[in-house]
Amino acid sequence: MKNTDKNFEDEWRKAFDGAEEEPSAHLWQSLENKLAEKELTLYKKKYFYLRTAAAVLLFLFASSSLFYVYHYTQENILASNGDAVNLKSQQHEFEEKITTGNTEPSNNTPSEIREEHRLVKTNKPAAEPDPASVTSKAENSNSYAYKEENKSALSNTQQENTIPPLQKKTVLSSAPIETKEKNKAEAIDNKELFAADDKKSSSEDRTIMPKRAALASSKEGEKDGKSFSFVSAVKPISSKTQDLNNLELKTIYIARRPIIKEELYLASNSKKDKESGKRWYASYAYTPTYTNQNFVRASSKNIVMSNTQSFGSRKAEVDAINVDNSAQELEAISPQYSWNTGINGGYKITEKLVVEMGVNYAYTESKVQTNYFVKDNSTQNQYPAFNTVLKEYPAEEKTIGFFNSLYTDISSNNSGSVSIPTNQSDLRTARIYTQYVGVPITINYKLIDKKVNVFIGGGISTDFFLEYGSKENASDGFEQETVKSNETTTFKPVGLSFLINPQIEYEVNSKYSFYLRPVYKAALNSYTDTNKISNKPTSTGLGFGLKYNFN
Amino acid sequence: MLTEEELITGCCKNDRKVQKHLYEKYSRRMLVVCLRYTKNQLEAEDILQESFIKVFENIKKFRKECPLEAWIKRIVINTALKNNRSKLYLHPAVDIEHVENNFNENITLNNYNYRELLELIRQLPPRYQIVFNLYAIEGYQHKEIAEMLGTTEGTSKSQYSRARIILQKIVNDHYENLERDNSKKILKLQEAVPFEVLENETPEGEIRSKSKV
Repeated sequence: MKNTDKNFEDEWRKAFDGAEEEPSAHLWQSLENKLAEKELTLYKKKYFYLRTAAAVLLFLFASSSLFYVYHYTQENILASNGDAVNLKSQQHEFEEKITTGNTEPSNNTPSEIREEHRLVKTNKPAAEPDPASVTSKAENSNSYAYKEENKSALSNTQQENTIPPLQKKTVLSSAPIETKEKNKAEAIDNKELFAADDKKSSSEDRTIMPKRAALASSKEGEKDGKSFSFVSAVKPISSKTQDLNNLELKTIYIARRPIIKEELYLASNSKKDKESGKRWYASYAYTPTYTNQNFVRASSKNIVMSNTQSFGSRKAEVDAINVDNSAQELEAISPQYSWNTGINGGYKITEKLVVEMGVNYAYTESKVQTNYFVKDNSTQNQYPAFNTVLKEYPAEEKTIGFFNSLYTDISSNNSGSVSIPTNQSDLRTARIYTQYVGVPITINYKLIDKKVNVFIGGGISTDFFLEYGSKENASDGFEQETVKSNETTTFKPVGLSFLINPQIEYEVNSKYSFYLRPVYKAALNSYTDTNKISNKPTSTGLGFGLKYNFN
Repeated sequence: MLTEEELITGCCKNDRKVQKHLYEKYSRRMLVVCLRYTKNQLEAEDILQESFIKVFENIKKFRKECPLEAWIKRIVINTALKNNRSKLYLHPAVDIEHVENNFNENITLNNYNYRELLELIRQLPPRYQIVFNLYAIEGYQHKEIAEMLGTTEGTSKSQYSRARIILQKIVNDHYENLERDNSKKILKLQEAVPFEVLENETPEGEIRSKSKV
């Protein structure tokens, strides 16, 4: 029975042994697409933490900026209110002038007064009458009507004390400005009124003033040889001001403070307008740098070549004549003149805080002295080999990788390239370079704001690998080689650095300025994609830049 | 042609050309495995594609404890099982400990090629199909199958025996049908061709050719 079973199963296995069916022709294409998608996802996952860090930094930056802007605005408002309240001394001066008959007409030009009306209109509560519209309506009336009505209003002031507010404001707001130039005003003794109002409102001035400002505007003019500040709109808005309906002089006083307030507001606003035009700028900079690549081998193992060097199942050949079994890799890498150049765009969040972002191209060169080289047996070309690493694959076998273009050849399936150590003392020189495109984001804070501005700042830079290569050195027998970003390389496609970049800026005029920017930049992660060698470049440099303000 | 070692090394580095080599080398054989666990070609190709993605993603973890093909096949089978899991819920297993052996009659498969056998397997209900594949063709033990499917060993044995009975019946029916067809053909031929010719020429092909003449 068991044997029968076994035969049965064996028959099935035998039937399917070596059976093959051709898959659909499109299946590989579809599989390839899915693999590409997966690799992209993996790539995204790989840089998830970097992106998260960048997002957190941006968030912190944005929130701190918003806080700063909000805080700054609040301070301005408080300062304005404080100034308005502190101007009580000026009011007293005005009071003195009125008492002694030295009242001067307001310095307000007609356009400024019109601006005040505009602002009043802006600040007005929706339910209140519009003083500006009333004013403009009144301005259309002829001056004769004004004089007549105004005369009767003023003559009735002390006797009737019942002038309806709306009527009064219509009449008084139409005061022609040209009357300012006439005779000196007769003194109006309103000292008691000022004193009374001070007693009432000393503790509440701040809160009431803006409401009054919303309701009242005024002009200075002259009537019957007397100088007045005419109220264009007076409507009591609190119990405190109820009695003002019937007191014209007092309404004049009430009107003074809103004018002062509005002047302050105008001044503040005009400053803001002036600044807002300069918020954006663009700059170009060239920065010579001294860059140290900081190649560090994780292991102290140097490669010791043998003339029977095995590269797995590949047919790597070693020139037995030149092999020195005891030779070990010697090398020295020293930084050379490097540079970067690029453009930046900046935005002034506040007068002192600036955020800047740019794109730059960075070229870094190093001098390598090595006693190892790689020879392509097919062409006999030689290339410098440095930072040679022992790379382990899943198999127990070990193979050798080189930190250059032939790394690919050696560690994959080509058989033409081998490394040959020469005499230990025979050091040959080569120059290697890397090229990156950097995207820096920095925040700068203005410490000194004069003709020469001084900033402190810093940020992060995302560096995208472009190319690695070694230059031709005919005297030492090395050929030129390049490895681009789309080829297999030990460099990561993206690296992250932090920057410290203070700045001294000289403003030539409102549009142009020159600046000097010392830069220190250091990698936050290794720029190589192998744990055998780390590469965390650091660079110091001095940038020369030209800045253009869009104002 | 790349060696297994080279294929692994290249795939570790996500070298697309090497990946394609690996695919071309093993896909045809793996498709047959997929076809055994599915009901149609489309479903099988889906599993094949998913399996190769897993192969390329996990090849760095391959420790060479077994041949690469066996490792890939294991991935294909696991993918097929995972894919069939929803179907298995529709055919719940009944745990039984005692398995009655009803298949005394031996089935001979000599007259079948693998495509015909594939069709036979595909006629089994999904759960039986899987158990039969795992036990009879892949060579897993019932204990292993029970672990893989989350059932008991007894259930696996029971399902296997039922699968075998069904297959036996299908094969018998098939033979019967064939015999019936043959006898029908002979009857038709008897009517069309003189008796003495039939006596002398037994092979069907010969008879047919002669009858045409």
